[in-house]
Amino acid sequence: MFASYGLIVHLLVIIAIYGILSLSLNLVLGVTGLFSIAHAAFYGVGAYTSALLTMRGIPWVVAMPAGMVLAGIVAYIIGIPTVRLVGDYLAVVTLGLGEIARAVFRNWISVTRGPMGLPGIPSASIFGFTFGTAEQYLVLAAICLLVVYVICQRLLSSPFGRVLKAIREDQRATLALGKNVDRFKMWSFVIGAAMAGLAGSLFAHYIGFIDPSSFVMWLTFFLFLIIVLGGLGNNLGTVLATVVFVAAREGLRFVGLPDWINPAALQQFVFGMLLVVMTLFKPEGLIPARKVTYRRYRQRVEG
Amino acid sequence: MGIAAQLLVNGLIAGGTYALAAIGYSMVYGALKFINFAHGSIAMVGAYIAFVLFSLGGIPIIPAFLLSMALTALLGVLVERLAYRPLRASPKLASLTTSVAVSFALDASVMMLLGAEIRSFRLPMQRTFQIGPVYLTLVQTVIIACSFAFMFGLYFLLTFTKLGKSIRAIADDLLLAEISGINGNLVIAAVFAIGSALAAAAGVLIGMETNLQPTMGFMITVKAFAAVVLGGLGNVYGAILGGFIIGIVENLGAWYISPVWKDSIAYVILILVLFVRPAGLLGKPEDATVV
Amino acid sequence: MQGNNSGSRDTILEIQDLVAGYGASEVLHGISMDIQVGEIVTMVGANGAGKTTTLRSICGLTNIRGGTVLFKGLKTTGKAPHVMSARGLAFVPQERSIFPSLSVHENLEMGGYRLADDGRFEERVERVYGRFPVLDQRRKQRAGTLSGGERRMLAIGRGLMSNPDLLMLDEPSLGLAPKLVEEVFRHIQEIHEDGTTVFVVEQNARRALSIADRAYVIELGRIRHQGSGQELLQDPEVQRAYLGG
Ligand SMILES: Nc1ncnc2c1ncn2[C@@H]1O[C@H](COP(=O)(O)OP(=O)(O)O)[C@@H](O)[C@H]1O
Ligand SMILES: [Mg+2]
Repeated sequence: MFASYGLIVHLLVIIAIYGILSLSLNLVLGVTGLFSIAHAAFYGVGAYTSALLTMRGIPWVVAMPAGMVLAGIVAYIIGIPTVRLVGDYLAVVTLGLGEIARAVFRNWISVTRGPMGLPGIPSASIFGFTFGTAEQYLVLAAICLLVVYVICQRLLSSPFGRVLKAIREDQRATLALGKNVDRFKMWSFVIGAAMAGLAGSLFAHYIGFIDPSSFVMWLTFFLFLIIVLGGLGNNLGTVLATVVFVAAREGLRFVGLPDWINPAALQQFVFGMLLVVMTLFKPEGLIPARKVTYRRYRQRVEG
Repeated sequence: MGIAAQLLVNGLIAGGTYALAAIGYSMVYGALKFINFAHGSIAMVGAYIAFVLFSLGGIPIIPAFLLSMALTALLGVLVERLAYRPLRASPKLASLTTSVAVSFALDASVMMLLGAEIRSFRLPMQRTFQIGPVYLTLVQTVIIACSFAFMFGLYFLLTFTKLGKSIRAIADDLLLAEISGINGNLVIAAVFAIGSALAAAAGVLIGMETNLQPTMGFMITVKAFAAVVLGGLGNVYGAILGGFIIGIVENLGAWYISPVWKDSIAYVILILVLFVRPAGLLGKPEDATVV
Repeated sequence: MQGNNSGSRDTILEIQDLVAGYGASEVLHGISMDIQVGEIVTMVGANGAGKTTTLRSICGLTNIRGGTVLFKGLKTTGKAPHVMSARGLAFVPQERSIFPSLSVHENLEMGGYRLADDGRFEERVERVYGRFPVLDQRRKQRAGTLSGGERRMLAIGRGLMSNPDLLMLDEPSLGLAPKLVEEVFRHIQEIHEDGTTVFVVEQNARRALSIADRAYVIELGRIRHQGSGQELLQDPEVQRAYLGG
């Protein structure tokens, strides 16, 4: 095996960061059923905010939450006109938000340095302790992942989470129960965005360099694939699928390919086809959520 | 004054191509009530088919253009049959996800087969001529003529032909249309064929005016998408109107604000419109809100 | 007439032990009934009894678990709705029975879609306009702008445009003012007298029974009573439950 110790630690840190991202998208899309395609943008907002603040001397413990809050505020503003509309509008507006965010990262050169990116982002530190090495950073990222996971699990089993699932299953019936559907959708959207902002901050301070190309639509799509395979709405499945996919993606880099094949294109093609096949033949994911879905209920009743 | 007229014409040219692409989006939304994200990538494939036929195959541009529209129509029908029809009864999330995936798979296929580099038709039609204060190239004239011709053809089809009326009927109520004796699957296939052919036309025209890239589909999706929502989801004429508005506003904005924000302007407008009139300019308000 | 494999030459519709529903829920628990060519048959029952589900099952729009539906002697299960329409079955649903964004004339064209090219479209459409003069005055108007009564007439007219062997109407009088209810029933009677076999489902039991040759009473997915329209009108039990007396 040529996979060195350092490489494995690096892989684990990336898995932890992607785990947070996937869990946050799972909350928005998997649990609530909001078709948001701006997740990369919230991730980017968190990363840029946190990076820029620390580069101006503000401690990470303040900068990181600031990134989360800003991502949440952007989600809130986007949510105002859209959460009350049919789901397609959220898709349209979030697609646009993704584009606008990328344009801001690329074009607001006096602040973001545009396509040149931000180098020299300081490491994360808490009260004087700096997470300088990859191992230390892994501990930090893992703790964050654990916290996010616990929050997501709690949300799922709380009354709030049950309303979210009800919205996904049947919005009309949920409305009839007298629930303020729009407010629940908004909260889910904002919390999901803030969590993506956290992942962005972790990423920025780990790599030490960010540029607009880290926050493209393709990333959101990759997360789609993860949560669909993990079983929409299933947090544990989401984390496991993250491990498999991030590892597979990094692994694909080491496969010897003939030079006429563009590895990025191949990866995109394989993952695209995989998602089509999954949705067609196994829509409940590889690890279905452990609740009584309608399909299973029907199977049970019909024998 | 002169510059404003020039910007308006440039906007009309860009808007014509956006409108062509937006029509397919809108028709598919009308028929199946879901947004076909892959539509922009289908337009991209159409552009590349024409490019391969013309630049590599040596077929003259007009037959290459028409052949690309026909082949792309076939691709659209195939995608519907294989990827969307099995999901028609599933939650909408499933079709949306699949269409995003189809889009990525199409982009990647072209990238693998033809490479990621920028291509160009290199048409010998860049001669410029002047009408009043406005300068136009021959390609631009062709773009305007084509987009208006196709739109008029579509209007004729939808208003006067049996197929066109049944397309409108299934957009109103698919089940009732089938009960009335209309073969829904056949009409939906026709919707995909027409939408994809027009998308191919948009792709080729955009390719002629600028250049070709496997990622151009995403740009087309972004613009067409904004046009469709601006005009009112599911309303074909709204989509056309939206396409022209976005083309024009973009060109004005690029000049008077800054060209780097060109691609964002459409969306800022869109979000503002959604605050005020969620159903879009020509849409029915009851279609936009949930339930 | 084709399809006399069931033995009874004049049976246009025959349902045996039909068990059907939606998804996991079973609504019809074994329905048997038949309709003969030239009859006008009604099915009456309370809201939620399964009348609409019966009609939808005949068109193949429900989840059929058991039993058979024979239309002109051929099984209907698994057939697409447009195929049933081509075989001569017309269904006028209770709600969503017109195309709101199409004009009145276009709605009728869609009704006669299959036959639009047989050269006798004009003849059929003029017959519908003759029957429903309100529609004649509104040929170019968008159907979505019609009043409730006009919509009902348009829906029935749409059903007639395919020249059906069996016309099925789901609660055609629902929600209409008494005067319009009378008008709708008069039209149904006339359509029947002009030679179309009619199956009409109603909550308005008194009115429906009075025009029907034969009738079925459905309760919670089961046929409770059957007989001629007059018999059921006289039946004390039916009177108590459905005729308010
Ligand atoms: N699409 C549906 N899905 C599930 N249940 C339904 C559906 N439509 C009707 N039902 C149920 O089936 C039963 C019979 O309904 P229906 O046939 O519409 O009655 P009717 O037409 O006699 O009023 C009712 O209990 C109703 O709740
Ligand atoms: Mg009913």
